[in-house]
Amino acid sequence: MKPRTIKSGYLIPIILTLFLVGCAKAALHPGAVSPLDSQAYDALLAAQTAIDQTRLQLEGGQIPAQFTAPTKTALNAAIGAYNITRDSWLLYRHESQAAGGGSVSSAQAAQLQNDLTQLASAIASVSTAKGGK
Amino acid sequence: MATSPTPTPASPGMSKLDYAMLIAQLALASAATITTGSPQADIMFASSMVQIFNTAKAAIEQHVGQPIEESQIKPEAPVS
Repeated sequence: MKPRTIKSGYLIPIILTLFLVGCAKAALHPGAVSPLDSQAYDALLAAQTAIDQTRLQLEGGQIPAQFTAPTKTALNAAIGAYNITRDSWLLYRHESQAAGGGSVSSAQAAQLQNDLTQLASAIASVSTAKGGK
Repeated sequence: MATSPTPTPASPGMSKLDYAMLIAQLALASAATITTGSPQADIMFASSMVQIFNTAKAAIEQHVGQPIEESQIKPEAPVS
């Protein structure tokens, strides 16, 4: 049986992508109260862009008719998850700032982590509902 | 062999749109080298990948270097 090999053409982008993801995870925005704060900010910015883009696609009739209703349902679920995560993130930040840069309660951090997970799932559902568009 | 415009290297002060355009140009240049099957394709592809890496790295550094602005995270209204 012929051994399977990976062409370097595929390997290089994979390594670079992993490296870039590592760089993005390691770096913090100035003013971030913690790595979680910085990552949540990036995640919320990305989610906001995805929501706004889908909203424009719906308004512009760019979603095929058979996908319109499921896309609206999924988008509203994502908007709900986004607003919950936004409130959770703001509470986390303000609690931390009130504590003078000290650590906030682990319960609030866990809540934000959980909300971010729900948001990621909801945004992925929007992409599926659009038929991959 | 198909020729594509030579992308301008990433430089400080580039906007997000500039980065997006540059990455798209580099990706198109890479695709051109793959489809031609030229003997120099591997070298050109590797060169393009390095440029894509440097551009993406600069874009990440530019984004991460900006302070958190709470006002940018706006509440969203549901669609009807």
